[in-house]
Amino acid sequence: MCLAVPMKILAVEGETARVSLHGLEQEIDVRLLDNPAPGDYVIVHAGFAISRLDPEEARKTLELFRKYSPDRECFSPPPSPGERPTP
Amino acid sequence: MKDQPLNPELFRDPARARELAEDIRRIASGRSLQLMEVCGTHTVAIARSGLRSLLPPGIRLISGPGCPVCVTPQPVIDGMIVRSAQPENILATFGDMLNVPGSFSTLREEKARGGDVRIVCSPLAALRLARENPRRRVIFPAIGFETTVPTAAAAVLEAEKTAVGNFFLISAGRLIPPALKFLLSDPETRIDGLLCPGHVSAIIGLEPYRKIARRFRVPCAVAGFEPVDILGAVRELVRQAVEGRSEAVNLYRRVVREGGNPKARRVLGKVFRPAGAGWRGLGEIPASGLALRPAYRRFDIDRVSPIELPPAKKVPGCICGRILRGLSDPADCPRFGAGCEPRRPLGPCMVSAEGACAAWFRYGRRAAIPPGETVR
Ligand code: SF4
Repeated sequence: MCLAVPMKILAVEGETARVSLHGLEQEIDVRLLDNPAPGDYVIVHAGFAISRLDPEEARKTLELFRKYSPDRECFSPPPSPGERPTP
Repeated sequence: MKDQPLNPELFRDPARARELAEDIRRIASGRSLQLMEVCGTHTVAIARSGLRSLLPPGIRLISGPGCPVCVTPQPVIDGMIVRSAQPENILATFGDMLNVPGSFSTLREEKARGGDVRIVCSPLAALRLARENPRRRVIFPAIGFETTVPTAAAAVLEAEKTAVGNFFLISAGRLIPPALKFLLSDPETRIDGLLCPGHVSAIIGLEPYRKIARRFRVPCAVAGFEPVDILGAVRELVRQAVEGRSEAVNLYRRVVREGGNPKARRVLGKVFRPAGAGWRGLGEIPASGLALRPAYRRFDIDRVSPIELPPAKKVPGCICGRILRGLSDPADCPRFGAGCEPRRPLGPCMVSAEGACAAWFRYGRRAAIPPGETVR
């Protein structure tokens, strides 16, 4: 039920957007997202875009998920802005 | 998307998966740790990719309460089925509710007997049905977590705006953090780390897990759904546990923002307020359910048209409740594969594809990732 699928936005019109998934086009609702734009990849759940995919973050996560090596001891993810490490 | 970092194949790379598994083995160095995968989609991904066989024997992954169909109490299921048989109603539901065994029948059986049950993929499709059938009542069971409930809330707001008077919800949404707190306070359940649900977190953000990590001293990692995502998160949890740390980290940053999705939360909060609610297997948990706010009560079918239900029947021998609390594995159930299987499920953990029993049954015998193959 919680299945959520990445799709690419082709066009936005008001609260709906045309998206493509494996070349198949369909309409989704984008009212739960701020400023959806053509070219965005979004996660779609129950007919709604619920989040935007960020390619740069995907790249960083892949970087993080490499094997630890002794000279790369710092492998916890960096804190995000506004995030304070727990004491 | 092929050449982009968003290409999911990159997160299915078996070589990377094995490296991460080696790290886990080395860091765990023989310790036994029990990690809970909160989300049913994780349960399926773990079973399907055979990840368990890559982990050292001491690292046990247990399934949590994150399967919406599984945790929905029997009276809610029974009520939905009874309503589907009433001729004035159209029951519009996600497909995964069709085979859920009620005490006396299922939606599929009611449909075969003439009940008007329609499968929809979005609450907005249910609303459309209401517009097309003004003389019938269209009832949408709003079963699901923080990911799903905002979509039902958006449909309610749309129905209000466009003055649709025959659209109703069965308000059975549930919130994940209260269930986690409940489990972490349960003296019987041992949880050394939480693999936190990716798409629930896309809505609620990191803050709820920060509080949980601090209060219960348990490491929390928000993770995506590909094998490399899951192993990366397990490595983080094992490492924190070994070092005695308990922090909430986001390892699914390509989808989950620090603050979640405030717009979706606003829509949810406009229509619903937290209320005490029952969970199958866990019992009553304060502020873990969602009730329609007074301004939207006319959409609540249980308020508009209450029904009397015969007492719910228990499935004899079903240990779904223990599985949802991480106390048992599906294989511990005497009926697992012996009378209970996805085609003829006895309990909800077998009927939902996201249920632990169904995932174990479908993929249970799957061993390690075959060399050179993409893991899925
Ligand atoms: S195998 Fe069937 S009867 Fe046993 S716990 Fe799972 S759903 Fe219940």
